[in-house]
Amino acid sequence: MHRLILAAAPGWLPPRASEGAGKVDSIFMLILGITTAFFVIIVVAATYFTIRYRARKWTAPQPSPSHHLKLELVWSIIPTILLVAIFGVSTKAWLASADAGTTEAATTVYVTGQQWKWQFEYQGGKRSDELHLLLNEPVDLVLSSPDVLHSFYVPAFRIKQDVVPGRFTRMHVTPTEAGNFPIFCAEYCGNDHSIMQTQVVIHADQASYDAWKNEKIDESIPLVKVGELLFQKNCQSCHSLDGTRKVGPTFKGLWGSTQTMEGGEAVTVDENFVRESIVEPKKRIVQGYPPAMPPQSLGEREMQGIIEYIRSVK
Amino acid sequence: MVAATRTAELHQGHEETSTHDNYLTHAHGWRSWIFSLDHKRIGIMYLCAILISLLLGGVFALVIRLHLWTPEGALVSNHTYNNLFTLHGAVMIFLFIIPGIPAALGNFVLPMQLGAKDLAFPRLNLLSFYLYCIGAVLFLGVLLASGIDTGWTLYPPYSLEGSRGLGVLLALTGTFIVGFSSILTGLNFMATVHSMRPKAMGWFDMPLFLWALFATGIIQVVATPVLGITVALGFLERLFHLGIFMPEYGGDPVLFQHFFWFYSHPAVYVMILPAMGIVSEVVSVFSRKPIFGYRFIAMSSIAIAVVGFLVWGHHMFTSGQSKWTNIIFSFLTFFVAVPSAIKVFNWLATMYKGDIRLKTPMVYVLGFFGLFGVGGLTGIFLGSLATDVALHDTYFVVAHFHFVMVGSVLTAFLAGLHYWWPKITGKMYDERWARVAAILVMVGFFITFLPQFLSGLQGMPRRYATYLPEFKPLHQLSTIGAIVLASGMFLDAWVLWVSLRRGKAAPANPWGAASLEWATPSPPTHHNFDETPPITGPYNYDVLEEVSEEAGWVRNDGWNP
Repeated sequence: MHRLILAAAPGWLPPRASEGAGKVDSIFMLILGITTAFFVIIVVAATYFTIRYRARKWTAPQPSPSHHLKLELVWSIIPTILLVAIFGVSTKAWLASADAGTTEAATTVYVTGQQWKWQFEYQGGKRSDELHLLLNEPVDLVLSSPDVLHSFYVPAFRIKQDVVPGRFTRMHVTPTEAGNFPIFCAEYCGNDHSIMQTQVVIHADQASYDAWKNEKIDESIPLVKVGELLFQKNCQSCHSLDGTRKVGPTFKGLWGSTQTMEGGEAVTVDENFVRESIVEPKKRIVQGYPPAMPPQSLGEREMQGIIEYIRSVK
Repeated sequence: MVAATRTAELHQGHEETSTHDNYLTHAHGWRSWIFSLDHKRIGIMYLCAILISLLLGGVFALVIRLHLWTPEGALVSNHTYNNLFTLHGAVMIFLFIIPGIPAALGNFVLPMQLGAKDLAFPRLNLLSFYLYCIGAVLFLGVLLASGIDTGWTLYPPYSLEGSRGLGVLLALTGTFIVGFSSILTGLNFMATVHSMRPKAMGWFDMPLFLWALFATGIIQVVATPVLGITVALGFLERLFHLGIFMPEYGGDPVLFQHFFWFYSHPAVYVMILPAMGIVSEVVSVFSRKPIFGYRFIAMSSIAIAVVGFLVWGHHMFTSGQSKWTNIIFSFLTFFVAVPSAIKVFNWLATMYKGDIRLKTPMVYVLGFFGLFGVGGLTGIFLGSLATDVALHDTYFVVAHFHFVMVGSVLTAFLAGLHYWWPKITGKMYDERWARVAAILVMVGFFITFLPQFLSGLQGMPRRYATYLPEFKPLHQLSTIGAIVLASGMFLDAWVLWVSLRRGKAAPANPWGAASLEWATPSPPTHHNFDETPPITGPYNYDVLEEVSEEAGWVRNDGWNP
């Protein structure tokens, strides 16, 4: 497997630029092998029988059984076993990448898909239209959309994630190949869906990444600052930063913690829980607190700002 | 059964029955058609309607393929392109493939395969045809008038935004009216199979086409109402902002996808099951061998109908649904592959030691094995999570579902159309040219869609009006294939048209088939049978002998229509 990951992809597959891509390709090749074998069996049998048993003037059908339980069981059970095996291998590989996303990577990039462009915002205030990543540095992508459905698709990473308005979806990726690779929108999103393309730029070393990052710092305020301003205006009367109990839970150490709700449900504080607590605060209340918070309506960037701010309050 | 054969021998004297009076000449004038309760005439009206839909959908497809000749788009604007692929998908799926085989061919053949005079509810049958027409006109009218550009999947929030939303909902109402016609047809078929089978015909003495139509009926009746529920919820959301599908009112767009695929995935089996039924009939008749493993094939139809309800979530692996949901749907999806595999092996075993005649229907069926083989096997890549996340919403998916829904269903439909053509029209078509057309259609199909697997693997996303230049050669190959495919279809239309005008008269049983629709003259009389023919089993070819090409096959027990 490891060798396969290192090897360059064959010409009819796109280049591989992530840790997961090689795994996906090896499963692809496994399924291709098995299905090709079955396809060959079908075509050869159909062709051979057609030629061998083609009706001629002097021929007639020869006696042969009209059913054969053992044979039929064999060709029911063998495909079943193979299918379950494929399911197992494939699910295991997929889980490895899906679970990798649950432990937090050092870097988070906020990805906004909107009609018809991609926007990337990095911790520290940098924003860009192309995704810039550092080689071998694991990254979490947090995706959201202010308008309609989109899908973030990087063929070189062999991954795709729908961007759903009203909630956050996430992806986890470790780039393993420096270079530029295309990014597509894969979920139909209206008139210019087909030009909603950009690219991921994977920097070979820290120096080149830093050079890009310092190139021209965006004038606009960074996300965490957006969050801080919102906090001072709207949140601090009820939520503390130092662990003291006010009307609502403190933000200190809140991010990533597990909280018990009224009714006993345990919830991990992540992007979608924060969004829900702001948009629909009475849906789930942390145990022991009053349902006092009024619903707020925030823009997508303000929402990202609050999340980034809560994340920063350790 | 032997007893039935013996009693039938008493009825030898009625060869003279009505060579002149048949269901086509029984009554005249347009009223005798649109008010007809005869399942055969309703079947023909359906056939005309769905062939018009096929032509429409096909023309849209050709414009799409020609547009994609160049990366920047050769013909139309992005907006028009988006309208075109929406129209192409919606017309082909809702107006051609779903009703195609059951409503047109099934309507014609089902009662006759049971030796019955008509369906259980002839009036309901006519009503379902009217509903189909009303729904189709509403649907097409709205689609053309409002220029809906959402794709046939109609995902909100895009589809429900602003004025587009009301158009989409009206169009969906149209599809639900068409869907209601499908519910009534399914109900009618199930009731007919239950109540009108002759005493001598047990469940396992039915032709497999009937098993397929019965299984299809189950899906039509259970799944289609969900389409109506979705439309109703969509209206509530649009008019009262209840917060069901639209995030701006607190709804969840992914919920819509669940509703949509809960209907639309089983609908795929509404398309493919009757197609498989036709393949079972044709492969047995033209191999002159009883179908191999009858019970496995019959039961696999039911298994597909049942398991087909449990796999809709595999359309949504990248939608953000939970990890466990993905795993469970992937697991169940693999199980729907098993009954399909069983059928393919049983069909091949039917050919073993047969006496295979390569008439046009059989040529289509041989092509079906290849097309369904590719279509079914590439489904495994998409049911598997690791690979689907890469391939979802690319041309790989486009190629996969075209192989299944078009390659397989269309060739089976054409196989069925040519197989029953002599019975329906009383005319023989030109075998040689029909075979040439069949080969053109299938070769054209492979050239069109095989390259799309490759472009999908390389990352070409679906529903792109323009594309990166590196995909150009594969797109151009596809377009060439589409032209070949279209020329095959037009040639075939010509062959069938000529047969109507100049075709030789068809004998009652030109292929030597043993199911009951062939135990009546071609075309059938108004009441199908003057009396129920003796039932000797749908695949019992021992009772048949070929007289000559012109006179076809007759029964050697002396009973002939």
